[in-house]
Amino acid sequence: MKLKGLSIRSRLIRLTSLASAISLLIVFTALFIYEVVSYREGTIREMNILANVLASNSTAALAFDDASVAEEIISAVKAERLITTAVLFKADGSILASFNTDTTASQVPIVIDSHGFEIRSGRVDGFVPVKMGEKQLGTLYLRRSTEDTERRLLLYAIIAGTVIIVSFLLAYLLSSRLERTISGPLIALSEISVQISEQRDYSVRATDPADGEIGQLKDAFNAMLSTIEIQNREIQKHNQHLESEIDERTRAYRREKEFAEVVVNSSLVLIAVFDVEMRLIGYNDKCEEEFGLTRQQVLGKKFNEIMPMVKGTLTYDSINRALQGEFVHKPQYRSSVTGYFYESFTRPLKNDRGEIYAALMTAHNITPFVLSTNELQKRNTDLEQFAYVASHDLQEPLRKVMLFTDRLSHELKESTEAATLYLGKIENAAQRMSNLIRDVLAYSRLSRIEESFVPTDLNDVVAQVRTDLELIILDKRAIINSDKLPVIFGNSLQLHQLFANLISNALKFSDGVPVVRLTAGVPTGEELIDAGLQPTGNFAKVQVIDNGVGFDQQYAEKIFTLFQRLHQDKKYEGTGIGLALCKKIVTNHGGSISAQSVRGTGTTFTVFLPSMPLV
Amino acid sequence: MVDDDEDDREIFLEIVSELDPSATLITAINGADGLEKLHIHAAPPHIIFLDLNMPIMSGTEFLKKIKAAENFRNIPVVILTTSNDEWVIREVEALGARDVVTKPVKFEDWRKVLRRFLLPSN
Repeated sequence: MKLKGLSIRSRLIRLTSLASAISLLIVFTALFIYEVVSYREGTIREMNILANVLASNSTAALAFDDASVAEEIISAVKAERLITTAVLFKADGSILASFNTDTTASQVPIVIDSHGFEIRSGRVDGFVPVKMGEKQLGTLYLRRSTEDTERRLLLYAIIAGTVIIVSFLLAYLLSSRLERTISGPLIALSEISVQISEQRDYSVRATDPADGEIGQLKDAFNAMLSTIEIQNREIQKHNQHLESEIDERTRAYRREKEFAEVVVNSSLVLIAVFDVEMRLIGYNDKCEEEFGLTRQQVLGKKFNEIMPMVKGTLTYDSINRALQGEFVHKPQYRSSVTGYFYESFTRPLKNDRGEIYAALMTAHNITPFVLSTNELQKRNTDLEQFAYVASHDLQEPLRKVMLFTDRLSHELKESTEAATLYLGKIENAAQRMSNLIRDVLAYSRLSRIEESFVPTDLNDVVAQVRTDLELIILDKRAIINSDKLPVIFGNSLQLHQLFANLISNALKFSDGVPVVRLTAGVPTGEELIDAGLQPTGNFAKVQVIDNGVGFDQQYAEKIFTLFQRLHQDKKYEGTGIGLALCKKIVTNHGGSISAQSVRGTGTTFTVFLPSMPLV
Repeated sequence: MVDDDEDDREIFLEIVSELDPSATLITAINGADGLEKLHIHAAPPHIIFLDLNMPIMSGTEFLKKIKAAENFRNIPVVILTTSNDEWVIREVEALGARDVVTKPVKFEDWRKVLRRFLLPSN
């Protein structure tokens, strides 16, 4: 019987029915065999008894060879309906008497076959000797039909069959009823598990009442479901938390991204990002505007494919170098794409692992600045050239005026007082003009000539100035004291001019005996900031302090402008260029100059000059 | 004397003839003229007074040329200039000028300068 692929229900029913059928079959078979065996034995015994009774009754008839008596005796057995044939043989084998009612079997036997009874098909028959004492008088043959036995066995079989069928049906009905108590909960469990696996609803429970192992199974199943449900709920809760967190982060990321995009796109600076393959991966609005190409047109494409003319340019080179890790600054170049001037900064962008994944280029259009600077430089140069040439050419006729005034005054030895006075005035005016021209020339020359800057010892510079001013110093009996001065990174000629101007100023603007003091020191960061310099720079501080007439502090800045004079007094005559020149020299050196003064007490000029090369 | 300024040439001539009537003064109006006159005259001059700012050929250029020429290299050259530009002074000194003199504004000073170079024994 095939059980595989059948439901538990069918299996149980089949097993139960089969078991009961087999047991009934075995029982009935055993009973049937017993019945057959006991019937055979009983029949043979009965036949023997009957035959022996007949044989002993027949002895007299045989002994007297009386056929009629013999016939009478034998006929007596006719009463026994089942005895169909009886034959009495004489000792010589001839038949004394016989009867036969059997219609199916053969005629009465002629020959004595054997002794004892046997069951053959449809009958039991056999021979018994007829004896008187020890002497055999003849032989008796009896035959009996087995018709009754066959009927009985048939009836038996019918009953057995009926019983088996009824029992089988009963067993089937009973088992199909009983199996529900076993398979019912199992099927319910199975259906629930199917439902759960299909609907993923772990809140369902097995509810069928069951006990024993199936009850345990149900309870275990429910417990397992509870655990799954709890875990599921936790997982769901966790998932929801994660989802809301992801949502929040996504929103924050989007906000940041939008913020960054707005910032990048509102920049007036061109911002472009290139990946390692030189493909554009970032490109702001300013770039769109400047190059006339939209983001859609350029993003993801190689730079030299979008703009073939860039290959081999400074820009291209800058990006390449940035992709190698370099920070590249191009202060000024002309774009081959737009034709404008730009300043650009290109730097590598690195990921968490420190690998370069892109180059960021920021650039701004400096064309107006470059053009105006160029224009300004050209104009300045023109102006200075003009000032230089003009001053130089002005000097010549002036010298002639002075020369011939001089000659004229010699010629007019006996001239009037008035003539001498006028000549003196001409000479004086010419001299003043000459000084003016000389100073303008010096001023314009400062910008005209490219100076070499070297470490310069200020002590040497000041010593030279003292020598140059020797006559005035002696004349005024001036005292000049100087600290040990620092070595400055600068140009000695300019520095000479600076200190000559400052010291001669100190000598000039003095009523009594001029006392000039030069001090040296290191400026504090604050002082440098106040002077508009880098507080971290290496600067030396030099002060020129005098006891002269001084001026109102309100003019402290004005005095450094060109042609600015504070004194009308003839004895403090000047061109108004000296301090402007000083300021220009100090500015040329990357330093700063300022003045502090108290009218009637004196003036202090404070100079900051770079003590190391400015990088 | 090489100078484009006529007045200066006249004053120069006046003082030279006053100091040494036997002396010969050859004047040229610019560097090119100066070089030409150097080649024309058989004997080279004892001293050359040279102005710097001149048309056609400047004093600096003239100085470079004669310092490069074997025949004239040893003639002392005194620079007379209105400029007191230190860089110019340095340049001509580097080129081999004997001295640099700022053109005086007084006649007497002119005389002193010439006396210094023409009559060294005084």
